[in-house]
Amino acid sequence: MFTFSKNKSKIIISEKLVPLSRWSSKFVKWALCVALFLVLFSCKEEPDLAEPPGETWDPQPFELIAPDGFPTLEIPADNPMTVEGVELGRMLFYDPILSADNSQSCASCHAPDFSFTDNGRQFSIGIDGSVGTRNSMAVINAGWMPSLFWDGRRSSLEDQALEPVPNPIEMHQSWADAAAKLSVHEEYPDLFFKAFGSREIDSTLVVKAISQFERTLISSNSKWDRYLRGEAQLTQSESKGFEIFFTEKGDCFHCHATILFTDNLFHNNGLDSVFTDKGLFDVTGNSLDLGKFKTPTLRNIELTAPYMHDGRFSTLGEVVDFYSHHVTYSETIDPLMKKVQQGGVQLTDDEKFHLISFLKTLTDTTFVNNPDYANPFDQE
Amino acid sequence: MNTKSLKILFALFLAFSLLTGCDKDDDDNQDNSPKDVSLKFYFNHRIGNAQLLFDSVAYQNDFGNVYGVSTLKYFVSDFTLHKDDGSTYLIDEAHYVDGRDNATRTFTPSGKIPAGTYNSLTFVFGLTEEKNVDGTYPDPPENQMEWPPAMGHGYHYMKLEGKFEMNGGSYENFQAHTGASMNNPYFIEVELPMPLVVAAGDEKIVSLRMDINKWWSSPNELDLNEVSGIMGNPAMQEKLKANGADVFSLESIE
Repeated sequence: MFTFSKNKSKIIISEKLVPLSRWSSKFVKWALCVALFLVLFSCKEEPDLAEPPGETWDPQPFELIAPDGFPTLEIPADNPMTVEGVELGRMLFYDPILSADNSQSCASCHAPDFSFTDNGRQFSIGIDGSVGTRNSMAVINAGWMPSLFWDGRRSSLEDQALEPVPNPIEMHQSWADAAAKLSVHEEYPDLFFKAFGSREIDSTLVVKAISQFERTLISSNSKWDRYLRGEAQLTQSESKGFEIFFTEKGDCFHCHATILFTDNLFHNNGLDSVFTDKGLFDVTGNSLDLGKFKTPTLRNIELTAPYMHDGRFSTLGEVVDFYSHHVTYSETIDPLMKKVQQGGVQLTDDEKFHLISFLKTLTDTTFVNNPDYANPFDQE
Repeated sequence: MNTKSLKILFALFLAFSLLTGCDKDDDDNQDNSPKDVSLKFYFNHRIGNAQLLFDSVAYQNDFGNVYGVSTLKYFVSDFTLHKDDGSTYLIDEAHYVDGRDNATRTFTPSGKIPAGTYNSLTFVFGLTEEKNVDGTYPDPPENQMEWPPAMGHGYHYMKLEGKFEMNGGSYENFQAHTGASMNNPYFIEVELPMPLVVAAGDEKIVSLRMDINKWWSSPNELDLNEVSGIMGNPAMQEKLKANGADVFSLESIE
């Protein structure tokens, strides 16, 4: 645990303590002053803080437990999880103070009832009425995402969270203004001190807190998870859908891979032959990346309509129809896409029904209804 | 010694303490036992006589398919060095290679290799049954090689993917995915003559070459039209296993 207390280091300099006959008392005082300086400043991480006398910063470590079978959770060394940091992040996530007109919070477009997506909207609408161009991504098992956004342009939750606040088509507030509003708020300076040992609020601390909260948003209690743990049985239709999903009949598992149901990689899944949104290409400039987008997780997919980076499909039925019959060739189409010349994997109506039955076993209502993830301002 | 000298000495002592006092002392972790031979294995990928250039549809197999490769990922395991007297030295490890990721193309065994005179190298292409166990690799990139229980278990031994020309100028994809299809252990035992004399302290890099065209040739000539959706296809797994016996050759020892 990282604790800080200014009262811990007390060194008393007294001539009575140094009866060293051959050394002059003047030299000993000098040496002890140097030693005191070194003891106080050499080996400790000193937070930059405006701390009233007697106040201590002693955050409680937040023990984040990764579910069995999940990959190792990488937490940035400069943003360790604390109870105070997570709670602050949760408040900031739900507080419209981060938008210029105090009308929108992160949760406005990442609502828990929709697995932290935007309430069934195709595109999110900013505070000025501007409409985005990509579908809001689910914030679920976010701690295991090595890249963020559909085009993967950010590689940490902290970096991701820097974008929506100043974005003119989203919350449209400069970070300087956001920090100024938080700094004069009656509660936030104290909460930042408890979380980070500083009342000097800036974008870095805001996104650190939000990221700590986002790392707690873990889903591992869907019917599928309970089936794996031997706590639930799949229906006949769900079992048939499971076979389609995890064999090359449907061949969903190659991209929606591992227990996270995403490989966290980028693919052109054959939506278009010509790209209006160039996806990963906009980040890399590599023509081989044209039309590639990050694989979204399928956990809670039932709750996150509409689908694809541009929300073009309203229902899972439309999605499965696409992969069955309407896959389109382009130069960068992923080599995993099968039967491209026939338009896709050619599932029958029955097979589509079973596959969707299986996809619905990935719905985790305990995640959606977890009180720890809910709006703290609603509970007051 | 006068006071001035004492001050200088004391200041030097404190400066030394400051510079060294906060470092972690990792001397205890150093392995001071004699290391025999540093042996590394490097994996080179070619198609016939040409170096593999990813995403270039410029290669032709024996069947006549004109094709390109987008993905080449695989496991190798149980590298074993053999001596004339029949004794062997097993490197009891598995290694993941991604042809696009140079860092993975060198396998550095964690253990020491004894000095000696060896005559051949064997290894497993894929994972032995003991190593092909669900959950062994929870983290990326290896976990993305998982082979679903609905079609067997463990991990893909290989993902070799790309596209090839069809009649009329269109393209279709292929996916040579090998693994323990339907729970049959189709891993491939590779044997390579490899005269190797190594003395204590030597550092050697053994370069191995995979010729991708050999996956589609002898003894089973394959049309890439057949090589799609084959994870649950034991007959195709058998053919690729047979073809895979000679895809590797020894390129160099340096």
